[in-house]
Amino acid sequence: MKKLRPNSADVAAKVVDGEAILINLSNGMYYSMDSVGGLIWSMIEQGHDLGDVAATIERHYEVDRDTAERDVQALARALLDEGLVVPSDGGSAPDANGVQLPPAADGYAPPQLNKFDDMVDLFALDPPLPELSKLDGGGTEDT
Amino acid sequence: MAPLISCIVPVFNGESHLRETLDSILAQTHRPIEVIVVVDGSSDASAEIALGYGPPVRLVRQDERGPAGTRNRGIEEARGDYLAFLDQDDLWHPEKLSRQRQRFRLRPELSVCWSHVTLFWSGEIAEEGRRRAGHPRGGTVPGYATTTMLARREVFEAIGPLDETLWFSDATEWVIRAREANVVMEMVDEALTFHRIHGANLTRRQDARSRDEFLQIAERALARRRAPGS
Repeated sequence: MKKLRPNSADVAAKVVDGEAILINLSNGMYYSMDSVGGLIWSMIEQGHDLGDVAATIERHYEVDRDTAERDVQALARALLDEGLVVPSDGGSAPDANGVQLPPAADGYAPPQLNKFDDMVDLFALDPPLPELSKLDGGGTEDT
Repeated sequence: MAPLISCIVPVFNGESHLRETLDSILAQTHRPIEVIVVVDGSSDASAEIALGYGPPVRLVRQDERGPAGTRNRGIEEARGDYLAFLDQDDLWHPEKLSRQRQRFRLRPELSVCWSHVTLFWSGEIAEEGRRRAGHPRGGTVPGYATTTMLARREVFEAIGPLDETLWFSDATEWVIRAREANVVMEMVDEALTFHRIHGANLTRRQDARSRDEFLQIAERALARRRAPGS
């Protein structure tokens, strides 16, 4: 996996004090990721490829490259499995020097995607309805 | 004697379907009822339509206070032992109130009863409804929304009113509060409310602010999980 982008048709997300908070409006699942995960999410949102993300983590936390790559790929798979991101086919990569980094003193812990399903039933009726394009199998029709 | 049920209809420029909505309340098999139409601002004939009905339909007008504020005004005006709400475009099954009231008779500890909702599509976007047929959220779904609710009036005194800062997710936030307070609630399996999707409310549901509000609800839930003692 090289590059991902947020599945913005279904997912709303924000980063607060380094923590990423996401909600999948199509099914009511919501998620959190603490500082390393928050950094990875921010970089995915900004259009960085996963290699850039692993290199930034390697530099910032002084972990070895294999660990950084393995952990980034594991989180990327989890995000994909939950429908929070979709594969992206490139586009221009922003400068990784512009990334806002959490304090390295917090230390490195492998990023976790924490998952919560206690509001699923509450979201059956009220959140925004899915976009038509999705129902059409990924077509381009605007709603 | 059967208890009085206050049926609160929050309205904002709702003239297109308001008659149908009020007729579906008056067709309820449960009596006694009062119907409180709260017209929030509005520049159309909604107030005149409501006024034309006469008792048990009562009109309350207010300067614009938003959807949650309009429902809260209805709660303030209500005299019933039970409160129900019906949005201006939606319809009830004729036995909606009586079937839910039956649940309270069988379960005296019950405070709130919800029902399933069947979506239906207004003429101008019926084609879109056909395209969505078969989608998990395109037919009958559990309706945790005020438009399906029958509640004992005391529950609003215990839990508090709807949060007027929320324009899209006021009911969701209220349900979470009620759950946290261990309020006894039940979702009936039947679809007793019919929710009309039309151009305006479809656009509203796809509003970016709606997404932000639901994200805010997730953020608050996460903050509560981290709070000491939770």
